Amino acid sequence: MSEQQGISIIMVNTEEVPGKSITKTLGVVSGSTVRAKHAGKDILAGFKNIVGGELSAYTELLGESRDEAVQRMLQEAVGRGANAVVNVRMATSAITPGASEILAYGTAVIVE
Amino acid sequence: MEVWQIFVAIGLFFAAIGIAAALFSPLAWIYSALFSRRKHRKLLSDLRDRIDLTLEKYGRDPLTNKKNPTFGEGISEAIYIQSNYVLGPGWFNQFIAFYHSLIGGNIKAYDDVLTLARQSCLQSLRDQASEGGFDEVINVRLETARISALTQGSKQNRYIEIFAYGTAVKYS
Repeated sequence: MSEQQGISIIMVNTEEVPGKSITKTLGVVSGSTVRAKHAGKDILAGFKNIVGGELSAYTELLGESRDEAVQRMLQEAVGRGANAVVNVRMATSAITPGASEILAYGTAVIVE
Repeated sequence: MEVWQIFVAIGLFFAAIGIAAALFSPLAWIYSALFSRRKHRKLLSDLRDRIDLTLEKYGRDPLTNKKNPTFGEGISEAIYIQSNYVLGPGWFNQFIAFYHSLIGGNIKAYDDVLTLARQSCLQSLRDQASEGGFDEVINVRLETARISALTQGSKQNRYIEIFAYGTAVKYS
């Protein structure tokens, strides 16, 4: 899940990139995505929940959504000419039953 | 065959489906009550073994939620890693939680499942770090969110999502 297939610039969730120094700050960038699983997998997950444990269909779904949100954030950062995103944070909210929104945001910077 | 016999057959067929649907819920509930905690305990003890193995390999816990690396040496690589885990608490635990919400008190049944979810998220971070050859994971954060299913009535199923992320660093 940690590999970024599309854009790969430096991305960390610390305030500074360890071992490098920030020369310019380019403002907050963010990316979000809303996804839902199809009903069949919902029902299967419902059966799995009788006993409990990991619901891998949902784990997969949310992992994919996070990767996509991160990709959108990185796209915005690249558009601003940044070569790193620092202080990345994630937020999740259930907007309607069956769908949740994933938001990734961070600060686009130029590092040396 | 008379016409009324066909109608009776169709009626019996639907009656059988109705009875099966009515029996399913209590049977599933009993199954959950018998096996749910056992399953969670087993998963948890498996996970503890895996955690011990990783800790042995590193000689310390590679995860920390400090902002700066522990050793002030130069750092050659830093990368963002994340992991998530969606947890179904099980019908029996949901019932116990509901029962406890009437009388109050500590819901012990949920402790096991939440510990399981958090620890397996953290263990997944450790695994990713050791696979990539990283020395430490700094600024680890944990988040919890509740998600609900679309099809089963939203009252019935409340899934919990645990999400952990951090920055893996490699010392030069």
